[in-house]
Amino acid sequence: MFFTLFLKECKELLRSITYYMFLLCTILFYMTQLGSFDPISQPVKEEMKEEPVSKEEQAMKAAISRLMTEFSANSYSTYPFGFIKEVRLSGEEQEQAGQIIEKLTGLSPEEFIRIATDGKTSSDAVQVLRNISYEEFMEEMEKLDSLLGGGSYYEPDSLLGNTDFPNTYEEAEAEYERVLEKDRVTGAYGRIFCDYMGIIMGILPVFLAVTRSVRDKRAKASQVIFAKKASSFTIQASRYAATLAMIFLPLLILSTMLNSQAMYLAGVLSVKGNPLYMYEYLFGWLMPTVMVVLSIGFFVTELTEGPLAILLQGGFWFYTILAAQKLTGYVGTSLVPRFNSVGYYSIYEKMKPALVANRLSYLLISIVLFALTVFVYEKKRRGGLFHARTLLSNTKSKHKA
Amino acid sequence: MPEHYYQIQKVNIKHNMLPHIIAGAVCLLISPLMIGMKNLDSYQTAKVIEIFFSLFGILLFVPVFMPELNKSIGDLIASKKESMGTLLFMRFLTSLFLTAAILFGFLTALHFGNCRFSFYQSFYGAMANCLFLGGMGMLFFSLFNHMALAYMMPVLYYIICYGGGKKYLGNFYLFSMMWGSFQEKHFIMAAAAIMIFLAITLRSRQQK
Repeated sequence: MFFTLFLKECKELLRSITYYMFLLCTILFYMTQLGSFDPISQPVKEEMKEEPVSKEEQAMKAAISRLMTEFSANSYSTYPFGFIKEVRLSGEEQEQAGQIIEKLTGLSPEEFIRIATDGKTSSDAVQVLRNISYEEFMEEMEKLDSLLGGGSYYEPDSLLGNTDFPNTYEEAEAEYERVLEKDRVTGAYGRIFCDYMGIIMGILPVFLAVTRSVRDKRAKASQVIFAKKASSFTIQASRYAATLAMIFLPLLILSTMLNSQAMYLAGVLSVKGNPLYMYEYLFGWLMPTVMVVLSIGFFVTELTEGPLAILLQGGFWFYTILAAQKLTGYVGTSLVPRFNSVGYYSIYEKMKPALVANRLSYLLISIVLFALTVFVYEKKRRGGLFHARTLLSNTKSKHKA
Repeated sequence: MPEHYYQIQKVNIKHNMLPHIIAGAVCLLISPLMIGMKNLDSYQTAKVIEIFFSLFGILLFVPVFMPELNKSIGDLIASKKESMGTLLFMRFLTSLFLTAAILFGFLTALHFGNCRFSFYQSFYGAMANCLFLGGMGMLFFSLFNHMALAYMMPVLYYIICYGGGKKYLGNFYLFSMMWGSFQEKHFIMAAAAIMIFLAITLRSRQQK
């Protein structure tokens, strides 16, 4: 029964204009963003810095330098949702920020401001006290960031994010070797594929879900389907699985195209590429995104039978895209984890535990939402909770039309 | 305005636009929490207006054709004396007025927040973007009588612009003010007017 319904649903999708628009947009997005293959190449010594500076030192220097400008003006730039938001601290909060500065540099806030505004400011003008460890420094930065309401330059992740990339030739060379050895080249392209396609997969599936959910209503087929033998779970699961499969079909083809280019490059670089890495990323990284967007679409539309799911998912997508604090190595609670670079396996290694937790959480959310969809559908079918067949239409309008 | 036009606007707001107006109001009310609206330079102000405010066009113009999705309502409306074209145009005007009023309030808040921008240019630019995205949604709505598609196409256009569509879209790139260029807004406004005209004409013929 399930397989028959699954095939029917796939055929239904192939008859839907929304699906062809989805295909067109997915292909167009792939062509514009990933169409020109960006090959991994060995670092060139002449292009890199000579003197090695530790990442910790870089991060601390950058924070102090920025503080000199922002603390003295009591004007801090934060990016809580991707847009700049200027924060001015109250007298008491600015005092607390002053205490943090004093603890880290040994300078009183007045002295710090005087140095910052005397016209000879340089990033070396103020040094962090020697007895302050890197961990202590970051703890203080965390306090400062929470004083500013989050999303500031001083957020430890953000401070370190700028230093994640290799700084010296040796580091770049080691990073390059890691990509060859651990990623076997293809893994690096799997990440960039998931990064770009994740952006549109964070929104596009909701249109397919809404289209499918309202189709029965428009065709006035609900009553006929309600009376059929198939269980609510089978009906909903076949729709869900068919939509998921039809979304993944073009993604599989496009990722295979990129994979074959990556395999060829691996051969050129004398590495035995692993063709499976691409698909591991595709299913592990991208599938939870698609599943949760589909679940939101199916659940909210089953509940309201209107465009609410599109508006909700649109808002969620907008937030998730703009709230990414960095484009390479950002996970957090984001629906669309970002890795907008080819290579840099060590950054990926660092984000991996958070990424796995994030992806599993979204997978779980999508399963829960799907279960709720089946529950609502079953109730509507039995004429239980929702007598008027939708949640919102239960409340009868008192207006005279 | 004749009494029945006023009634059309009233019924449209109550029965069709209200959820969308509420969604817009919520977005607007929470925007100061998400977005800095004080002391922004011209680039930052343009970013807020073009990337954030443009989406109000999709929110407020796409629902113009929504009531007729229910065929019974469509048949009932078609049986009335008022022509379908006039009715749809009146609904469009409601959305236009609402967008303009919200935009005016938004820009006034930016103005008093000491942001650097030209009020007239920003108003025109933001309206052009809203009408363009909304008009695209309306056009697809009338072409396919399909709600999801009507939202999908302007959202995708927006994503293409966001994802670096500058080199592909030329004069129809939505975020040009962020790059210091304004002339694109005239093309966008003209395209919006054409799409809206076509959408209303097609839709009113379909509903006859």
